[in-house]
Amino acid sequence: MPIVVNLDVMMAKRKMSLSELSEKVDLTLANLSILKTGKAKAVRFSTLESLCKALDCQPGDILECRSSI
Amino acid sequence: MKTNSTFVLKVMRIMSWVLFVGFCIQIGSVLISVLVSEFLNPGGAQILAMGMDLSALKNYSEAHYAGVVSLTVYFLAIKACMAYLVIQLFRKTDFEAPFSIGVAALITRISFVALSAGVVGLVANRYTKWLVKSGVVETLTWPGGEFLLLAGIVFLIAQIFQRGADLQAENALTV
Repeated sequence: MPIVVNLDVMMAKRKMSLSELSEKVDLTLANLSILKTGKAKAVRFSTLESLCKALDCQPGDILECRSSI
Repeated sequence: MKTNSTFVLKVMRIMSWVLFVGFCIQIGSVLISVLVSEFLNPGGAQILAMGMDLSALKNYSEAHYAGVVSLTVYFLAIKACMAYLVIQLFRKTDFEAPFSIGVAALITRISFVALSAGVVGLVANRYTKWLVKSGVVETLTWPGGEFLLLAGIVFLIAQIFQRGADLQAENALTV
Protein backbone atom coordinates (compact mmCIF):
# COMPACT_ATOMS: atom_id res chain seq x y z
CA MET A 1 0.00 0.00 0.00
CA PRO A 2 1.62 3.29 -1.04
CA ILE A 3 0.00 5.35 1.75
CA VAL A 4 1.93 4.93 5.00
CA VAL A 5 0.59 6.06 8.37
CA ASN A 6 3.34 7.56 10.50
CA LEU A 7 1.22 7.85 13.61
CA ASP A 8 3.69 5.88 15.75
CA VAL A 9 6.53 8.23 14.68
CA MET A 10 4.52 11.33 15.62
CA MET A 11 3.44 9.75 18.90
CA ALA A 12 7.05 8.97 19.73
CA LYS A 13 8.10 12.53 18.83
CA ARG A 14 5.41 13.96 21.12
CA LYS A 15 6.08 11.24 23.75
CA MET A 16 2.42 10.33 23.80
CA SER A 17 1.00 6.89 24.51
CA LEU A 18 -1.81 5.30 22.53
CA SER A 19 -4.26 5.48 25.44
CA GLU A 20 -3.42 9.15 26.01
CA LEU A 21 -4.01 9.93 22.34
CA SER A 22 -7.21 7.87 22.42
CA GLU A 23 -8.56 10.06 25.22
CA LYS A 24 -7.53 13.28 23.44
CA VAL A 25 -9.03 12.46 20.04
CA ASP A 26 -12.04 10.55 21.39
CA LEU A 27 -11.32 7.40 19.40
CA THR A 28 -11.34 3.85 20.68
CA LEU A 29 -8.01 2.09 21.22
CA ALA A 30 -9.10 -0.54 18.68
CA ASN A 31 -9.65 2.09 15.97
CA LEU A 32 -6.39 3.85 16.77
CA SER A 33 -4.62 0.52 16.60
CA ILE A 34 -6.17 -0.15 13.16
CA LEU A 35 -4.85 3.22 12.01
CA LYS A 36 -1.41 2.76 13.58
CA THR A 37 -0.85 -0.69 12.09
CA GLY A 38 -1.85 0.49 8.62
CA LYS A 39 -4.92 -1.73 8.39
CA ALA A 40 -7.31 1.21 7.95
CA LYS A 41 -8.92 1.58 4.53
CA ALA A 42 -10.04 5.21 5.01
CA VAL A 43 -9.61 8.10 7.44
CA ARG A 44 -12.36 10.65 8.09
CA PHE A 45 -11.38 14.33 7.83
CA SER A 46 -12.77 14.83 11.35
CA THR A 47 -10.46 12.10 12.70
CA LEU A 48 -7.48 13.56 10.86
CA GLU A 49 -8.29 17.02 12.21
CA SER A 50 -8.48 15.82 15.82
CA LEU A 51 -5.26 13.81 15.40
CA CYS A 52 -3.46 16.87 14.00
CA LYS A 53 -4.77 18.99 16.89
CA ALA A 54 -3.79 16.43 19.52
CA LEU A 55 -0.31 15.85 18.06
CA ASP A 56 0.16 19.48 16.99
CA CYS A 57 1.16 18.54 13.47
CA GLN A 58 0.04 18.64 9.83
CA PRO A 59 -1.79 15.81 7.95
CA GLY A 60 1.39 15.29 5.93
CA ASP A 61 3.26 14.43 9.13
CA ILE A 62 0.85 11.56 9.79
CA LEU A 63 0.24 10.33 6.23
CA GLU A 64 2.94 9.73 3.68
CA CYS A 65 2.74 8.50 0.10
CA ARG A 66 5.57 6.14 -0.83
CA SER A 67 5.88 5.00 -4.42
CA SER A 68 7.56 1.72 -3.49
CA ILE A 69 8.06 -0.13 -0.24
CA MET B 1 -34.86 -3.23 13.95
CA LYS B 2 -38.60 -2.69 14.32
CA THR B 3 -40.48 -5.08 16.58
CA ASN B 4 -42.84 -5.81 13.68
CA SER B 5 -39.97 -6.95 11.45
CA THR B 6 -38.51 -9.08 14.25
CA PHE B 7 -41.87 -10.81 14.66
CA VAL B 8 -42.18 -11.41 10.90
CA LEU B 9 -38.63 -12.83 10.77
CA LYS B 10 -39.38 -15.16 13.70
CA VAL B 11 -42.53 -16.38 11.93
CA MET B 12 -40.55 -16.87 8.69
CA ARG B 13 -37.88 -18.85 10.54
CA ILE B 14 -40.52 -21.15 12.03
CA MET B 15 -42.24 -21.43 8.63
CA SER B 16 -39.02 -22.48 6.92
CA TRP B 17 -38.53 -25.23 9.53
CA VAL B 18 -42.15 -26.35 9.02
CA LEU B 19 -41.62 -26.37 5.22
CA PHE B 20 -38.36 -28.31 5.51
CA VAL B 21 -39.91 -30.97 7.77
CA GLY B 22 -43.05 -31.06 5.58
CA PHE B 23 -41.07 -31.62 2.37
CA CYS B 24 -38.96 -34.33 4.06
CA ILE B 25 -42.15 -36.11 5.18
CA GLN B 26 -43.55 -35.79 1.63
CA ILE B 27 -40.38 -37.32 0.14
CA GLY B 28 -40.62 -40.17 2.63
CA SER B 29 -44.29 -40.79 1.88
CA VAL B 30 -43.69 -40.76 -1.89
CA LEU B 31 -40.85 -43.26 -1.54
CA ILE B 32 -42.96 -45.49 0.72
CA SER B 33 -45.89 -45.29 -1.74
CA VAL B 34 -43.55 -46.31 -4.57
CA LEU B 35 -42.10 -49.20 -2.55
CA VAL B 36 -45.60 -50.39 -1.59
CA SER B 37 -46.77 -50.24 -5.21
CA GLU B 38 -43.63 -52.04 -6.32
CA PHE B 39 -43.51 -54.89 -3.79
CA LEU B 40 -46.78 -55.19 -1.86
CA ASN B 41 -49.53 -54.00 -4.20
CA PRO B 42 -48.23 -54.16 -7.78
CA GLY B 43 -51.66 -53.34 -9.21
CA GLY B 44 -51.95 -49.85 -7.75
CA ALA B 45 -49.39 -47.15 -8.37
CA GLN B 46 -50.85 -44.26 -6.44
CA ILE B 47 -48.64 -41.65 -4.85
CA LEU B 48 -51.04 -40.95 -2.02
CA ALA B 49 -49.33 -37.86 -0.62
CA MET B 50 -49.42 -36.10 -4.00
CA GLY B 51 -52.86 -37.35 -5.09
CA MET B 52 -51.33 -38.83 -8.25
CA ASP B 53 -52.50 -42.06 -9.87
CA LEU B 54 -49.75 -43.41 -12.08
CA SER B 55 -51.22 -46.91 -12.56
CA ALA B 56 -51.72 -46.39 -16.30
CA LEU B 57 -48.18 -45.11 -16.70
CA LYS B 58 -46.80 -48.07 -14.71
CA ASN B 59 -48.66 -50.49 -16.94
CA TYR B 60 -47.46 -48.60 -20.04
CA SER B 61 -43.78 -48.52 -19.09
CA GLU B 62 -41.85 -49.16 -15.91
CA ALA B 63 -39.07 -46.88 -17.11
CA HIS B 64 -41.37 -43.88 -17.64
CA TYR B 65 -43.02 -44.59 -14.29
CA ALA B 66 -39.59 -44.54 -12.64
CA GLY B 67 -38.82 -41.30 -14.50
CA VAL B 68 -41.95 -39.51 -13.29
CA VAL B 69 -41.46 -40.75 -9.73
CA SER B 70 -37.82 -39.61 -9.85
CA LEU B 71 -38.91 -36.17 -11.02
CA THR B 72 -41.48 -35.96 -8.22
CA VAL B 73 -38.84 -36.89 -5.63
CA TYR B 74 -36.30 -34.53 -7.25
CA PHE B 75 -38.59 -31.49 -7.03
CA LEU B 76 -39.57 -32.30 -3.45
CA ALA B 77 -35.87 -32.70 -2.58
CA ILE B 78 -35.06 -29.37 -4.25
CA LYS B 79 -37.79 -27.65 -2.24
CA ALA B 80 -36.53 -29.29 0.99
CA CYS B 81 -32.98 -28.26 0.11
CA MET B 82 -34.05 -24.66 -0.46
CA ALA B 83 -35.99 -24.60 2.82
CA TYR B 84 -32.85 -25.93 4.57
CA LEU B 85 -30.69 -23.24 2.96
CA VAL B 86 -33.18 -20.58 4.11
CA ILE B 87 -32.92 -22.01 7.66
CA GLN B 88 -29.12 -21.71 7.37
CA LEU B 89 -29.58 -18.16 6.13
CA PHE B 90 -31.61 -17.24 9.20
CA ARG B 91 -29.00 -18.91 11.42
CA LYS B 92 -26.04 -17.11 9.82
CA THR B 93 -27.54 -13.65 9.36
CA ASP B 94 -26.51 -11.14 11.98
CA PHE B 95 -28.90 -8.22 11.68
CA GLU B 96 -26.42 -5.82 13.32
CA ALA B 97 -24.01 -6.40 10.41
CA PRO B 98 -26.08 -8.27 7.82
CA PHE B 99 -23.68 -8.23 4.89
CA SER B 100 -21.13 -11.00 5.05
CA ILE B 101 -19.33 -13.22 2.57
CA GLY B 102 -20.89 -16.32 4.16
CA VAL B 103 -24.44 -15.02 3.71
CA ALA B 104 -23.68 -13.93 0.13
CA ALA B 105 -22.30 -17.42 -0.63
CA LEU B 106 -25.41 -19.01 0.88
CA ILE B 107 -27.74 -16.82 -1.23
CA THR B 108 -25.67 -17.65 -4.33
CA ARG B 109 -26.06 -21.35 -3.52
CA ILE B 110 -29.86 -20.91 -3.25
CA SER B 111 -29.87 -19.25 -6.68
CA PHE B 112 -27.86 -22.13 -8.21
CA VAL B 113 -30.19 -24.71 -6.66
CA ALA B 114 -33.17 -22.78 -8.09
CA LEU B 115 -31.42 -22.55 -11.50
CA SER B 116 -30.81 -26.30 -11.64
CA ALA B 117 -34.45 -26.93 -10.63
CA GLY B 118 -35.61 -24.51 -13.33
CA VAL B 119 -33.59 -26.20 -16.07
CA VAL B 120 -34.72 -29.67 -14.97
CA GLY B 121 -38.30 -28.34 -14.72
CA LEU B 122 -38.25 -27.12 -18.34
CA VAL B 123 -36.94 -30.47 -19.58
CA ALA B 124 -39.42 -32.35 -17.36
CA ASN B 125 -42.32 -30.31 -18.74
CA ARG B 126 -41.35 -31.28 -22.31
CA TYR B 127 -41.11 -34.91 -21.23
CA THR B 128 -44.48 -34.99 -19.45
CA LYS B 129 -46.13 -33.13 -22.35
CA TRP B 130 -45.02 -36.02 -24.54
CA LEU B 131 -46.40 -38.50 -21.97
CA VAL B 132 -49.73 -36.62 -21.81
CA LYS B 133 -49.88 -36.71 -25.62
CA SER B 134 -49.38 -40.47 -25.47
CA GLY B 135 -52.45 -40.57 -23.23
CA VAL B 136 -50.91 -42.52 -20.38
CA VAL B 137 -51.11 -39.74 -17.81
CA GLU B 138 -53.46 -36.87 -17.20
CA THR B 139 -52.04 -33.38 -16.80
CA LEU B 140 -48.65 -33.30 -15.10
CA THR B 141 -46.73 -30.05 -14.76
CA TRP B 142 -43.48 -29.16 -13.05
CA PRO B 143 -42.32 -25.76 -11.87
CA GLY B 144 -39.72 -24.65 -14.44
CA GLY B 145 -40.08 -20.99 -15.34
CA GLU B 146 -40.92 -20.04 -11.76
CA PHE B 147 -37.65 -21.52 -10.52
CA LEU B 148 -35.69 -19.73 -13.26
CA LEU B 149 -37.24 -16.38 -12.31
CA LEU B 150 -36.52 -17.09 -8.65
CA ALA B 151 -32.92 -18.02 -9.52
CA GLY B 152 -32.43 -14.74 -11.38
CA ILE B 153 -33.83 -12.59 -8.58
CA VAL B 154 -31.96 -14.45 -5.84
CA PHE B 155 -28.68 -14.26 -7.82
CA LEU B 156 -29.15 -10.49 -8.12
CA ILE B 157 -29.71 -10.26 -4.35
CA ALA B 158 -26.56 -12.37 -3.82
CA GLN B 159 -24.54 -9.92 -5.92
CA ILE B 160 -25.94 -7.00 -3.88
CA PHE B 161 -24.96 -8.84 -0.68
CA GLN B 162 -21.46 -9.44 -2.07
CA ARG B 163 -21.04 -5.71 -2.73
CA GLY B 164 -22.62 -4.91 0.64
CA ALA B 165 -20.10 -7.18 2.37
CA ASP B 166 -17.23 -5.30 0.69
CA LEU B 167 -18.70 -1.93 1.69
CA GLN B 168 -19.34 -3.11 5.24
CA ALA B 169 -15.75 -4.33 5.58
CA GLU B 170 -14.50 -0.99 4.26
CA ASN B 171 -16.78 0.89 6.65
CA ALA B 172 -15.51 -1.18 9.58
CA LEU B 173 -11.93 -0.20 8.65
CA THR B 174 -12.73 3.50 8.32
CA VAL B 175 -11.35 5.39 11.29
